[in-house]
Amino acid sequence: MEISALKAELERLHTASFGWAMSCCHQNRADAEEVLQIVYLKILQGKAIYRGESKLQTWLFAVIRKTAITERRKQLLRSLNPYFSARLEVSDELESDFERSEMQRHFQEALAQLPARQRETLHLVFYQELSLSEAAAVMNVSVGSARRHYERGKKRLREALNQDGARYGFEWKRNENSGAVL
Amino acid sequence: MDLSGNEMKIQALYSELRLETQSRVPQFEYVWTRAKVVEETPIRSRRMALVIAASVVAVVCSLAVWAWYTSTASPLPTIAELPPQPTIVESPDPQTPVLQPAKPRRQRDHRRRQPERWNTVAVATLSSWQSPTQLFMESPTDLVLTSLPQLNQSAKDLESFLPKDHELMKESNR
Repeated sequence: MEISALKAELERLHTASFGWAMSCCHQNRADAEEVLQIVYLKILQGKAIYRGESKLQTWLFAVIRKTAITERRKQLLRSLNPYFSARLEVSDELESDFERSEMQRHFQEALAQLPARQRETLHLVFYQELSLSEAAAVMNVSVGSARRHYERGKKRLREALNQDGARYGFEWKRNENSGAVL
Repeated sequence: MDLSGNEMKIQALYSELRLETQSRVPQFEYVWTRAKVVEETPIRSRRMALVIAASVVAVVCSLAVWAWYTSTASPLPTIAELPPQPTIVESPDPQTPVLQPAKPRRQRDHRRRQPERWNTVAVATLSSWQSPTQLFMESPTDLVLTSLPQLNQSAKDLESFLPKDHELMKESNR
């Protein structure tokens, strides 16, 4: 695929890509933007090449996920340095200033408590509206594993939300999914 | 995917999150352009780094060569300035050493061996050195003085080695 055609496709997927990058970066906007920039840079440099083996979105999301993990590791290393850790604190403060509803804040807190794989699966299924097989391809796991993450993630999210449900005036009725694999 | 009640609620929360995120999405062109700028910058900096590295290597090599030249420089005369020295070769007759002209040295000697060669030349020069007064030490009877008669020679023949009477007289007169 030529770079101009690829650029048009990337532009079409840009919003979804940013949402996925946000999820991979724990809803940190600055990190998500940086990750997305690095992904575009990899594509421009030919380090990430789309060979048409899967859907472009699946491939792009897999690249974003891998880049986010790499950047996260780098950040952990940087956090050992006082200068960089100070910068991280500032960016976190900026993020926390963003106004959002109590319900949404509670939801994101519950999401943050989930293991990464479960959170990723839920995001890909509910936010990006991908099928479980597509989510599995993005996460580079089998469909069975993706299904397990999905079901466990849903269960834990529900439990987390139920704990504080009364505080926010809502209640999650336990409605077991017959197809759940627990 | 068939969604149950809980899943509908989760999806509603995700929809809200999606709306929130969409309002914060940076412009695609902005992110793309920044990536392009970053892509071009390292190439320039890499070239610069390459040029700087090459310059540093060249300077270091020059310094090394200069240091090597200065360390090998010596007050001794160079090989080119020295005339070829004759060397003493033992002839089959041990009494008559034969002087042979020195063979021309190979031009393709490495500079690294210069100190060794200087030592060799110095040794050859010293070993072939002759005193200026050597000439006064020579006499016509050197052959007689430096040789011995054979044991089986007759007494008559031995007389030839003895000085004549008049020669003895002359010596005594002196």
